[in-house]
Amino acid sequence: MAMGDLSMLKGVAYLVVAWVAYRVGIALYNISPYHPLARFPGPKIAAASYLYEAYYDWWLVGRYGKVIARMHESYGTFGIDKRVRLGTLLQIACAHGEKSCCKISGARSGEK
Amino acid sequence: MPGPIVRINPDELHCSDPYFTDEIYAGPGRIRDKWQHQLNTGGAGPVSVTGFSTVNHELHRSRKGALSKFFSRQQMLKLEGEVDQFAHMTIDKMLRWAGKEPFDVKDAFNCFTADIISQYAFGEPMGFIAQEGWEDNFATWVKSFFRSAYMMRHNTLGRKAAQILPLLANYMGEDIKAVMNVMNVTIPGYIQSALDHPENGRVFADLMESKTLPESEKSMYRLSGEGFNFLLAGTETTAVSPPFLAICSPHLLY
Repeated sequence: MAMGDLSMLKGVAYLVVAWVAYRVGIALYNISPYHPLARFPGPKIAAASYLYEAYYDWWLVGRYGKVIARMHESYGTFGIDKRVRLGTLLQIACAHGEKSCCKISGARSGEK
Repeated sequence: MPGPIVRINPDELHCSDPYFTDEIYAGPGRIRDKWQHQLNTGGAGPVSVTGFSTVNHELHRSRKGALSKFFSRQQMLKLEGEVDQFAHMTIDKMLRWAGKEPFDVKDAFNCFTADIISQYAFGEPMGFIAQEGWEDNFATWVKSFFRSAYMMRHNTLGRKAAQILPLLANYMGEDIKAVMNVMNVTIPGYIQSALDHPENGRVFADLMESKTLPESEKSMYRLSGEGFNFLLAGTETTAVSPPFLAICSPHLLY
């Protein structure tokens, strides 16, 4: 019976480890150059998972807006050509197949 | 130079350039779905199936379209008599209050606006002006809703639990309990009484007759959610306007 408990515990432990590994894998993908939004500036910790936003908005209650305002100050046009229009930027993201981004920028065929 | 666009979470970009507004928001010929992560603040219970919480552009339009005719200028003007009546009741109550302990004027305005919108939507006031004091009022529930909003957005397990088992919501803190109770019990009661008295010609009685809204969209569950949104939007925003008007352009009030 003790053996049974032990193997059960082991099974649960494996599941937890697998789950954590899965989440870490997703986080790594989120900050990798393969993510469709990779070219946009911003702190890597925010891009990696929703936990960063959750810390400010859920734990500290509604503070993420201030953090975002600071991001706009510190992550200026780093890495982005200033002359590129925002619409074009989002279209680039669309071209990379980001679904939610396409929804934001809209399926517009041509720039005005 | 400050950046106009930053990535604020795995799937979301934040834009600080006002000139980009037209591009982001929906307009004629521009289809825009909403963003589920944002909508998750009202992600459980009847409020999650309302027009406000609808991701899909077309479905959002059909849900919103059925309601929009109730908010035309002409419709609003028809209400003037009732609004005037409630205003006088509120002022009378304030005058009777003279000499008693001070009260928060925002609570008074909140009682005022909540009774108006509920009279309009359901055909009967919620009775906040008629009650003895200025509290509780609808703000009490609104506060609960906004206090639980971020938890709802980020705590997927909690959200799903409140969605699947409304009874469980009773054990998820006072805020969730209060909000779910309003949506699942209080508002359905008001809607039912509006449906029982269609001759009052109020929003929800009319909505049931709507030809543009499919029958599947007319469930009590969904209507309760819309009713909650009506009260939320019709109470809180409007309650802070009278003091603002009184300070900035008092002539509009007389």
